[in-house]
Amino acid sequence: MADIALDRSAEVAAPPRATALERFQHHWTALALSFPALFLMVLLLIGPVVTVLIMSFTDYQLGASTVAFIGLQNYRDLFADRVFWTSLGNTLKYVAIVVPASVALGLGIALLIESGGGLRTFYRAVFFIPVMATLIAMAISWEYMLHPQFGLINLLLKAVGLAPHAWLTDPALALPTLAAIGIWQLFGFNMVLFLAGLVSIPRHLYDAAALDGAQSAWSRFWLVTWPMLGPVTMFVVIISAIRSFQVFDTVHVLTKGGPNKASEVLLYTMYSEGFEFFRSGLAAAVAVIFLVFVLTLTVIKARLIEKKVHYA
Amino acid sequence: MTAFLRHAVLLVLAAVTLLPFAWMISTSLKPRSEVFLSEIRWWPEKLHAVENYTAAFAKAPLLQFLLNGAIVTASIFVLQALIALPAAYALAKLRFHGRQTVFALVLFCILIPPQAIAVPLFLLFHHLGILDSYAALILPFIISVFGIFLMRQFFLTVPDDLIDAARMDGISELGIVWRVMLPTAIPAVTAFGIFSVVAHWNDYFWPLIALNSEPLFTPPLGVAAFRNAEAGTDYGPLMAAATIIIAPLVVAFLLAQRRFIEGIAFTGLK
Amino acid sequence: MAQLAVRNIRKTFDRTEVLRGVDLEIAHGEFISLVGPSGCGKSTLLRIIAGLERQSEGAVVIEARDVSGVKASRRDLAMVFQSYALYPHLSVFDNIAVPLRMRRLNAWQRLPLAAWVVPGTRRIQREIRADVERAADLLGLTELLARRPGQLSGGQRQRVAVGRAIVRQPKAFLLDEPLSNLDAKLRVHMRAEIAQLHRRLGATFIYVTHDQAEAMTMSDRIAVMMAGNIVQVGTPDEIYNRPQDIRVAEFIGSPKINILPGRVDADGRVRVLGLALDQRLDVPSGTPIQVGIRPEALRPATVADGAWRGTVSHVENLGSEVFVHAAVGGFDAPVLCRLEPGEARTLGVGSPVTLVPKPAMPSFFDAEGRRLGARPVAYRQVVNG
Repeated sequence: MADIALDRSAEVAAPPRATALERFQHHWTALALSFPALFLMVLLLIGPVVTVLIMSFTDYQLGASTVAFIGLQNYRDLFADRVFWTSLGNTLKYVAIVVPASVALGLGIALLIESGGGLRTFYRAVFFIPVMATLIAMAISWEYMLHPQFGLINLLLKAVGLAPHAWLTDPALALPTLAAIGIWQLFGFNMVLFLAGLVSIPRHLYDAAALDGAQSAWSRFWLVTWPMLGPVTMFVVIISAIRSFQVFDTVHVLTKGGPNKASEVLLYTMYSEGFEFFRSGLAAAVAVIFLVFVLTLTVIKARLIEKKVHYA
Repeated sequence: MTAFLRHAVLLVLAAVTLLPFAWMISTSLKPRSEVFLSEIRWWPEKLHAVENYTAAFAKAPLLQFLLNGAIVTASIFVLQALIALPAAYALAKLRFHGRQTVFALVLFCILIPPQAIAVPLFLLFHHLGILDSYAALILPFIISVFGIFLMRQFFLTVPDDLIDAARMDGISELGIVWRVMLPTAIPAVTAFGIFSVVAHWNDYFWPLIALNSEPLFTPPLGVAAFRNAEAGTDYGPLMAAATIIIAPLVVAFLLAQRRFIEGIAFTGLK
Repeated sequence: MAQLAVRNIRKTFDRTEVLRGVDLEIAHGEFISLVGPSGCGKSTLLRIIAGLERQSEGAVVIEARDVSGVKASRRDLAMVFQSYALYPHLSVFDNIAVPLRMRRLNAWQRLPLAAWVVPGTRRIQREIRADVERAADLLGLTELLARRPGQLSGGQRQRVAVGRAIVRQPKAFLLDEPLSNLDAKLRVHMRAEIAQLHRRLGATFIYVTHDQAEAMTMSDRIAVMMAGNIVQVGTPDEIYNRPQDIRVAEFIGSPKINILPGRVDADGRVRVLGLALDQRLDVPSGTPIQVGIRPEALRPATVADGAWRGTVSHVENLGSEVFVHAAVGGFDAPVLCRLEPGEARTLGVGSPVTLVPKPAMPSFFDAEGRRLGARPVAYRQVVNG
């Protein structure tokens, strides 16, 4: 009780020695826990990004004995090179085909699956399989399907009386064919994201829309689904763009950028400069350009996530 | 009527989607004489399955590829978790100087596409002399900033009381990570694990750069090498090899498809 | 003598001062409640005592030893958390056993299968099992030991949380709003159970709550906290009847105390809303004061003279008692009066009512809210408190 007098200096023993150590430990525990991650982040991510930037201003070649800073020369060389522009143009074209198609397909199928009726799980699984399956193995299967003489695609075309094509060796068709494989691989992923978005739309909004006179599925879609899916759609578009920007596997296995650079894409250019010709400086410059595109897209995505968080 | 239409459309799309798989498996059962045909034949007249699959295993060390894939993906995931979980815990639940900075670095690193830093990593590994080894395949991915971010977000939802209770019970901070946070975060860790394993099992770009020797090849690299050696001559064993390479993930997916889809969607949305 | 004391504790979070120099002495075996509105700093104080938070200044003393800077787990205190904080992946048995295992087994002995390898492990594990079972028996948890927290009701979880605390036989129990996640009925029941537990264990309980009813019903003493300070420490009776601060008067008691504006007249008597009370204050005449009269300290007057006249604006009939809200001239808030059901039978909304204070002593506060000492005008009243 308060009325008990206490001689504090006499009564309170000095804190035990261990406490000083404990205080010290407490202060450093958090740093110790995050140190391995921090160290590896610097070594394996931040360091290399800085290096790639610096390297893009040098004439470094693997195995060469000298290195010199050459300023913007690598970039000047690139911009003067027709192949680079072809490569960038092809990449953008690829993105421009894959993104709208895979987003539209993903959304359409998600809507069909969610519109009621059975077999939801079945359909969802089927459309998701291409996302999971090793793309390289599937590219080999596609290659055989696209075989000019014995491929299933041309056989089917012939069966219905259409002309066969040399899908991967015709310069006009190579890139669109790769894009088609890209769409096939990506739309299931988009579908899953849309399904998640659809599930999170509150059911009572549809009830309200029905009471407000939106009788057809079509009008309910425009009144409720589409606006509610807005943020998800933006998000899916950006993710698809980032993913298709990174197209490489199918190009490397099926066309090697050919025929006549018709399917040369940015990562493939970087790969061949860096790891076939070992012009590391030039490859670094391509990597920087690639990085700028992907960073821009990712920053937009991050902004979207922030916005979504603020909405919630 | 609408239901019928819905199923009709979806079934057609499903058939188209599965076409490459069906054709791959069908071809893997055919003898060479039936591969090069000018007509569509789904089921071979002469079943050649045993021969093709035996040939696939004989012509390339497929089991070795699968084993390499398993070793590499498992190592990557275990190390990622070992490194990311303590950091995620510190970022989510501890107050320390520099926390904002560390988290900002994590957010920045998420932006970096792995392909963009392949050249400097290649050179680093070249100078370290560890190219063309398991280490070269595993090391670049043991730090998953995405994993740190994801687990931090999950840990934020774990009540502080639980952590305080663990402290009162005498569990150390590192002990809290493994004995308290990890068990409560099993769903998130599973989702991240699926994401990580799928990504690295299927990765082609980095193994292509880092490896030279066939005995170390991961499944995608192995099947690509098989095809470079075989293409045009005989598709039966090649398709058998491709089927074998995709089988582990696809079978795992079919067995636990809800977890897979949730994992990929969950990690995709963050 | 004091078993546990806090001395001039200050705590600052990001430049906001949450605790502003708190002193408190807690005797061995005492049940003390820290009560106050949310944000008053009571939980922070408890967490500082527990060692989960570091004070910016001051000392925590347990059994004459300054434990500032000593880890939570080494202060030998147990805590029951508001959200129970049970490990969701462990059974009830394991939840209760964790603190014992962490203390009695070393790192090697805690490894799986250690019982087969590390000597002594099995004996300790047997002791732990016995202790857990004893605690479970005390709390009626024996049947539930194999379950996971997810399979328990709120009340059962609460009991497991208590079990985890008592199994260690700590120096003191810290309870942080342990009942606030339970429904009203269960809360009343658990109140009694915790009070019984305290009697049975004879241990020190420090109980944080924002619910004044919990504090009043269970505690030996109550410390009322406001804005980072302890405003008053005392027995429930002292706190209720002799609040030292108007905020204490307003916080304790439900429904709330009536605070009426008053003034001291020329001969020192207190006048409230035109009515002269039977109390004098030693303050200059004309000083504005605030008068706190509890609803049960009012009664309907038989004569209109010398009473407040008002109109009934609302009636709350709780069955065993009736609260009448009356609009009294000259005052804009309703005046609350507690009546026996029989007394209120004739009153409906709109009926006129006359109220007088019962002879019990009202509380008087100055303009800043500090208590003013009063003395009765005549000696015919029974002075309360």
